[in-house]
Amino acid sequence: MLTKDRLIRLCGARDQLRNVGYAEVSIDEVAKSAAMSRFHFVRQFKTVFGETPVQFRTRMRLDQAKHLLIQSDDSITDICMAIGFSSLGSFSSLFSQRLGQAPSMYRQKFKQSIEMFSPDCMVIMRGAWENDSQISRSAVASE
Amino acid sequence: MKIKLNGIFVDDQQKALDFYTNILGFKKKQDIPVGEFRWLSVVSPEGGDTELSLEPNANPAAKTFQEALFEQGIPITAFEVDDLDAEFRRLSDLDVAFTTEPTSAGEVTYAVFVDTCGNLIQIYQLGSE
Repeated sequence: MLTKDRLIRLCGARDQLRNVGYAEVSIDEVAKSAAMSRFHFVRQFKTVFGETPVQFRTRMRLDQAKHLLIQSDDSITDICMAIGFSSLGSFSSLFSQRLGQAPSMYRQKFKQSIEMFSPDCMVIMRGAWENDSQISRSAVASE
Repeated sequence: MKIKLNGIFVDDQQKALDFYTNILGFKKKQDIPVGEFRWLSVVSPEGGDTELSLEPNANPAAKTFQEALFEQGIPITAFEVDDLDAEFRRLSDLDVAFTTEPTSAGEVTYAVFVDTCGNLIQIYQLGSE
């Protein structure tokens, strides 16, 4: 039986595993903070979340990569390093395998679609930024 | 007005499809690519045509909602079964984690398990002792 206390500890461990890249902590440390042996932690994590801690972390890395590819102009090498991969080759290979396209293609495809189909709030915010910058430019011009 | 479609958020659609078909025994109904996600739904093999949509929790609001319910031990939805004890044994044998064993509540007996996709699911049997 999965007790509420154990469920909460596993959720806390999942939160820690979401921190990918420079802030990553080892699986052993996460298990320790969940007050379980590594063996028991891995087994319980898989039962509750359907994947091992390593598989979960890999999925989080790829999610973060997708986010950075769309939201930033960082190079793919920088993104690869920022999410905790040490090799561009292994990152690109895994990304292509899971997402069905290379990181560069993913960026090209989804960045365009986001620019074409910005949600209303983004349009409003963009309008606010443009107004702000016009106001700033007017202020500078009048000085 | 009819209820033909219900939906739950899942943290990974492929993982959800595996669990809801291979473990729970539902059948895939819709699987249509939508951008990087899918319009994915399952139905019960025991009849009825109500679909359960397995929706990605990519929206931060959905993720926050889903995780809050999960951590508080609140099931996101409930499925009716004919024999709760048999279903409890079957799912336990498949290594499904239960947070509540079969429990009587008057006219209903219920149990709660983890769906491996970020949700607690209640199963219940009507009219049991």
